[in-house]
Amino acid sequence: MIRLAQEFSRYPGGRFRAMGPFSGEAFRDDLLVPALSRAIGGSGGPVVVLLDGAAGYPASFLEEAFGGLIRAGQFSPAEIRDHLKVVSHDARYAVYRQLAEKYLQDEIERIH
Amino acid sequence: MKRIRRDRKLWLCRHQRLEGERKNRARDRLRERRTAAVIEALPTNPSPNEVEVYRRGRSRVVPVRGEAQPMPEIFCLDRNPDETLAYLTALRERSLPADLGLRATRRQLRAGTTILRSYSDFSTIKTISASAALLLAAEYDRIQQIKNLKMSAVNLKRWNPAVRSLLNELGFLELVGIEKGTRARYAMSAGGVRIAHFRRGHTLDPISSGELTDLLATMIEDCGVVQDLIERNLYGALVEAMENAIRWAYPVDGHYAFEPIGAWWMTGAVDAGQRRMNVVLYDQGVSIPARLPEWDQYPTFRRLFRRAFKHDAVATGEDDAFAIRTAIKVAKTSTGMSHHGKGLAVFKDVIDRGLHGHLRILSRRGDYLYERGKRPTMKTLSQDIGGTLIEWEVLF
Repeated sequence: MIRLAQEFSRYPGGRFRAMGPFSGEAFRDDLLVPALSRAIGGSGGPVVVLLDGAAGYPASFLEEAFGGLIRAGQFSPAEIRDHLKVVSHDARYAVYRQLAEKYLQDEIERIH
Repeated sequence: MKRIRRDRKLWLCRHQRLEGERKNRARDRLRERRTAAVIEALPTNPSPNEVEVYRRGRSRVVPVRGEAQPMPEIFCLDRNPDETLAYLTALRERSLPADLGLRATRRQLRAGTTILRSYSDFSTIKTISASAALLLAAEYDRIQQIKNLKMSAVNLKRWNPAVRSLLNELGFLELVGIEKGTRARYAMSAGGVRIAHFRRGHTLDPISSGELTDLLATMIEDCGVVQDLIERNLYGALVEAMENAIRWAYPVDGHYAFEPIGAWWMTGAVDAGQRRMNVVLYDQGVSIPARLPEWDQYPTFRRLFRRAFKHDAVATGEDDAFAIRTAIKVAKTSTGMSHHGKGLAVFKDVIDRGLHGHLRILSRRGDYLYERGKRPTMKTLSQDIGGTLIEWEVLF
C-alpha cells in the first residue's frame, strides 16, 4: 500500500516537477510506476494507493499522477485496471478517489 | 622598472574608469535609499508641515514639501472598489517610475535630514478588507524590490487601531521596516478579524498553501466552530490557482503597465464576528483575459464569446468579467478536452461543496462573483486591478 500523505507528502503539489516539489509527475514516476512494475511483474497483489491524510488534492496533481499513467504508455489500461486500486477510508477523501478514477477513465477513453 | 605594454595601459585606464563609475552608482543607490520615503512616521508633535517617519527603530520628524495623499476611508474592493483601485493605480504611477519625487541636498544628507515631497496618509483609513490589504502589501513589496529601497511608515500612531493591527498581523508593518518591539504593541485584539501573515513566492509552494489552510482551520476552531476544509478542497484550489499564476501570469513577451517581479502573494483571514473566512491569492501578471488566446481551449471559448459579444474578449477590457465567466464555463463543461486547462473549473468546487460562500475573480477590469445556487454576477471595474486576484469566502 502507498500511503500518499505519509510516504509522499501531506501537501501534494502541482502537475510537473519543474513547477515545484511534490508534483503529480514525481509521485507517478518515483512511487507509482515502480510499485506497479513490481506488482505486474508478479510479486504480490495490486498496488493500493491510500489518499487519506493529505491537506487536499489539486486537480492537476491527480490528473498527472493517474491520467498521466495512461499517457506514459508503460502499462496497458488492462494492466492498470487489474493492478491499481485507489482507496480512501475517510469519507472526506471519497471525492478525491472518484476524481482519480475519473481521470484514469477519461484518459483511457481519450487514447483508446 | 618593467615597461607596461600599451594595450595593458589602455585596459588599466578603462578598468579604473569602470570601477569609478561602479562606485558612483553604488553611492547614488545609497543616497537614494537614505532619501527615499513615501509614508508616515511616529510623531512627537510635528508641525503641520512635518510628519514623523519611523525607520530602523527610530522616529524622526521630517518636513513635508507637498501634500499628504489621503487614502480611502473604506479600503475594500467589494464596498469601495473605485477609490481603492484609484489609490493603488496612483501609488504605482507615483512610485514605480525612476523619479520617486524625493531629493535631498548633500548638506541635508550630512545633517541626516530628509524632505518628503508627498506621502500616503494611512490615518484616513477607517476599515480595510483582507484582499485590499494584500494588494497594498503586494504593491509596497514590489516597489521595494524594484527600487531597492525600504519604504517607511509615517504617523503610525495616528492610524486607526483596528486597521493598524490588521496590517501588523498581515506583515505590512514588518514590510515597511517597523521593528519587532514596536510591532508587538499593535498586536490584534481578541474578537477582531484575524489575518495570516502574507506569503510571497515565485515558484509553486504547496507547503505554504498547506500551512495557510491549516492555520485558517485552527482560527475557525478557535471561534468554537468545526469546519472541515478538506472536503471543500480549498487547499487544492489554492495550489491550482498558484500554479496558474506561475504558468500563465508572467509571459516573457507580455505587456505590463508596470514592471512585474513575477511573484504571487497570498493570505487568509477569519472574522469571528461575521463568521466568515477569506482566502486570497494575487498576482501582478498580464491577467486572464489577456492570456486566453494562448489557451488550447481558446477556439471553443472564442466561439461562445463571439456569439454574445461579436468581438474578441481581449480587444477591450469592458467585457473582462464575461470573458472570465465564459472561460470557467468552457473549462467546466468541455468533454474530451485535453488534460490541461482544468484549473479554472475547480475554483468553483470549493463553493459548490459547501453551504454558503462565494468565489470572486478580479482580473484586469473584470469582476466575476459566483455564489452557489445563483447566477454569477459580472461587473466592469473602473480601473485595471493590475493582475489577477482570486478570493474564496466561506461562511461558517
